[in-house]
Amino acid sequence: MRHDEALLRTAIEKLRETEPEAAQVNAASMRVADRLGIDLAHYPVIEAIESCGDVRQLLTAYRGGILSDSRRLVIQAHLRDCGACQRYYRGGTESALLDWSSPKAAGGFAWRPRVLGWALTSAFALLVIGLFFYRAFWQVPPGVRAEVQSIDGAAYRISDAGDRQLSVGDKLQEGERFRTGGGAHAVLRLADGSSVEVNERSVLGVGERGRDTTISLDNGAVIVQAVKRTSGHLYVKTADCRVAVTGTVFSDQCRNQRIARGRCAGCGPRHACRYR
Amino acid sequence: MKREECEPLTAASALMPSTESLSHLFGEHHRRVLRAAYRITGSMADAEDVMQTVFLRMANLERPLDNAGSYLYRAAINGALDLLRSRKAVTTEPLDQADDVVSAGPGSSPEAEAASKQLGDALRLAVSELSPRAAEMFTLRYLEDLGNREIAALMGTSQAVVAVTLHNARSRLKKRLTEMGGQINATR
Repeated sequence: MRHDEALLRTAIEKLRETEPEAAQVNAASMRVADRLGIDLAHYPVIEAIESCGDVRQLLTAYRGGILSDSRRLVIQAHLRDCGACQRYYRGGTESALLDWSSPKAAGGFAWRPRVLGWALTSAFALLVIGLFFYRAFWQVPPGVRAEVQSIDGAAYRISDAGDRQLSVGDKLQEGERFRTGGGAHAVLRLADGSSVEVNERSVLGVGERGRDTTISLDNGAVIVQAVKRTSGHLYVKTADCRVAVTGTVFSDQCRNQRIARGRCAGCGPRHACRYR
Repeated sequence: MKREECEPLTAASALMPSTESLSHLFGEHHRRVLRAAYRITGSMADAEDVMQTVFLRMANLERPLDNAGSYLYRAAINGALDLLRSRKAVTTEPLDQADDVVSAGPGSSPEAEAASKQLGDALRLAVSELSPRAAEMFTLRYLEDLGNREIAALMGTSQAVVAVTLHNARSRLKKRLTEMGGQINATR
């Protein structure tokens, strides 16, 4: 071994062997503790936890939560294994079993602009969509549903207020029924411009929901000449079926056909689209 | 350090965030702190001063530390090294240190003990001449017997850096001890 290496090793060994005596350590510790205002008699100085007595001396600090993590874990493990110390810990101060930690503050409602913005946007979108569907399918638009263009014979309006004979130019409102007498014929003009020829002893009403117009035929026969619509449908509804008419075009079953003389020519005998 | 400087400690202790907590920290770590400081300084009076300074600094911390033990340990080593640096020019020796020489074990001559003590003091002086980081690493490795991995974790660096720093420190210390060994022999 080289001389300088041996010299360094010897010097290191010398320093490693430098250990103070226990009396010196205790005296120095007491002096420093006194100067720091620490009462070591009240707070036991335990260098290593070696017995149940050491554990019990540290239980006060353990309850207070001021022990280091390593010592806290050692005491926790010991309390799990040692029944006597566990009883001492529980019996010493029952109040120590209470949770003295400060309660957590209840989380108050906090306005978060980002979330609020998304919520408002979603609500607005839902409102717009709902309004669109309501206006398109459910809203009952105000106004006149039909007007009597011509009458040959007697025709009546049936409403909650009673029956009243109609003349040319009279108007039908939502919920009112139109009835023709025996041998009578009439022509109605709907609000969209379509015309409805009504045969004798027929009863019908005209209703609107959203953009759709429905002629509800309770009895009799009609001929409908529908105008071309830009939106919505014109329906002719009987007890058996409902036919959608767009201009002169019927629904799928009645494509490119007209209702004539009280019969839907395209439906055939198996179809129920027949006026009575 | 003079004792007069330590008198206002009672007033200072009133500033401590938690005397109870400090008491337990003191009870748990003071021996390790004192021994580490003593190994480096070689003087109980100096080690006592270092321990007091370290715990006072701990008491005045505004926020509690996650690992108070490691903090105290490193603070004691660095405090002792600082003390060595500030005193490397001082060659006087307190009278109570002479007890170590005369009370050496049987079979060892006072001359050999004195030479050995001089060698230890020479190493302390040489360590004090290292950079603070290298001195701390050397102390942790060779006096406190920590491994390179532990030192790296403690000082927040890599094991490679620790190994290189220790190698350089050893080279410098060997050279310095050889120089001082010649001076020691010359004074005999």
